[in-house]
Amino acid sequence: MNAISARKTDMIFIPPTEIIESRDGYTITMEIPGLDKADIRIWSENNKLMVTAEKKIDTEGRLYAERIGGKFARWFVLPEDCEAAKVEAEYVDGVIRIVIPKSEKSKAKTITIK
Amino acid sequence: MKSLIKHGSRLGWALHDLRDEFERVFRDLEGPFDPDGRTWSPPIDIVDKDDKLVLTAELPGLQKSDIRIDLQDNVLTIEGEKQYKSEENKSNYYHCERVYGKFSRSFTLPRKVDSAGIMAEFKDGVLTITMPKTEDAKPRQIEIK
Repeated sequence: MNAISARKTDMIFIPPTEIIESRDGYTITMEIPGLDKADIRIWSENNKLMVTAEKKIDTEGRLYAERIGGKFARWFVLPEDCEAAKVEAEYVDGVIRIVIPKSEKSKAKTITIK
Repeated sequence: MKSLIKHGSRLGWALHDLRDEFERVFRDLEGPFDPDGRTWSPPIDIVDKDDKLVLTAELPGLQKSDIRIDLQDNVLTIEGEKQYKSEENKSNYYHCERVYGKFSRSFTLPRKVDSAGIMAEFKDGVLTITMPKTEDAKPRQIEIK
């Protein structure tokens, strides 16, 4: 019981993340409300993609405390069919959205019957 | 589930907690595929600043129009729904931790809040509700005569 309860109180901030594959690529979305865009770092190296940021919250004089702040780093191993050089990212409504395109040759193609 | 372990024992509680945790995980796994009737609870903070109370709620991925704030008889209610885009629904999920659905949270405001002066702002997924204190409740220094 102790181990589980302790985890509930000393919580570390881990942004809820989603990875979706589409025909053209992969989309990673991470929920991190209240960030300064300048505090988000996204970089890729070989087949790895790393996202780091710091969520700052005002903890002084809290009467009611549920929000969790802090630094986090999450990294993803990209599949071989990705074009890591063409990764694009945006931060809208508290959600980081990273779009990783698939390389041309690996994209699903429709083959017409002659 | 019939338990072999006596209730009240430490191990019994640990297993009970573990079962709850598993249930939660599996409930979350159903996530985006069955959004109807599901609820979630956004994290909320309330901070006491000298002349006001500030409530902040984390609502990432919502639009201003998805949120409703009501004040009735000193009870402040924040309601909304996080929807997921249908175009993404058709694709393949590799990893899914985000929770969607409706939420509703209510707070009874303390008497010292001036309800006429409440203001709300929504930016970068954070809803901020500023509630000024009534003149009587503001801290003041008393001069010694």
